[in-house]
Amino acid sequence: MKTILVAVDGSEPSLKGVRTAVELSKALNARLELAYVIPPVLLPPSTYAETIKKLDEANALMAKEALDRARAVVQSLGAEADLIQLSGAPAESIADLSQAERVWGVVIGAKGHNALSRVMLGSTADRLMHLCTKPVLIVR
Amino acid sequence: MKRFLVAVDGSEASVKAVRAVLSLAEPLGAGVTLLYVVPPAVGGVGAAWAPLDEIHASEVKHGQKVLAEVLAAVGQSALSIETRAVVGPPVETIASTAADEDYELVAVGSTGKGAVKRLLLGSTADRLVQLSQKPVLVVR
Repeated sequence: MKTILVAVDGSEPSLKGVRTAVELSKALNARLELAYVIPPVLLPPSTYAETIKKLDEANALMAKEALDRARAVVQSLGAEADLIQLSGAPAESIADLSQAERVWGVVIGAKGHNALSRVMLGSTADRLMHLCTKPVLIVR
Repeated sequence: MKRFLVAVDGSEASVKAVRAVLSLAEPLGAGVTLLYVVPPAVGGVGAAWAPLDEIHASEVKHGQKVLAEVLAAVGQSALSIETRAVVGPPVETIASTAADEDYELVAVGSTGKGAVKRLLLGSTADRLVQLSQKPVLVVR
């Protein structure tokens, strides 16, 4: 059975992508996987272990919230999804994951949290469409 | 009824885009339109010998041939597939056709060249995701 991978970051456009992905998954009779990537943060070497721990906890909490929100949308449309949490460069991590045989393609919102309101396309979506060898659906 | 638009230029990537869209459209019984866009010719030296109308007419004819070849390449489909060859600025024409005629999504093949070559190649997919109000499926 094929899988549709959905990149989520908790933002409104990424939830729109989730809705579109649910429709696609019904058409293709595919499974859904929602993936959240925790981006790397560069810290000075002098950073206290305690600070790093707090940062990791905060990141994990944000990831969980974003994934839970996205899964709630999937369930409200009568579907199911698996959740995946990754760490690394977002576009690269999603592109790597999409290499898996089971993945039919990737759905991503045109803009996520980081994009300025005036840019037409977020940097993650832009990078992903150039890196990913599977079909990428960019949802606005 | 759902309808999907595919921008076609006869490249291997655009044939893949047609295949990807057909795999989505067939279970849905959706309509599929293949669109070939001829960029407007620039008048200049030589324009006196070959009027723009004639150049465009022969380019559109070539487009229809490409569309027929693409249809043959993807083989039998249960769906009725509409083909269209028109003259206009490619990216703008694809985006406005998708928006004005309310297609569900618009698919495009990407040559998928790297960071440097992307400035020269694959620019249609690149610009389409910037311009399109409708979801864009990028296939390579």
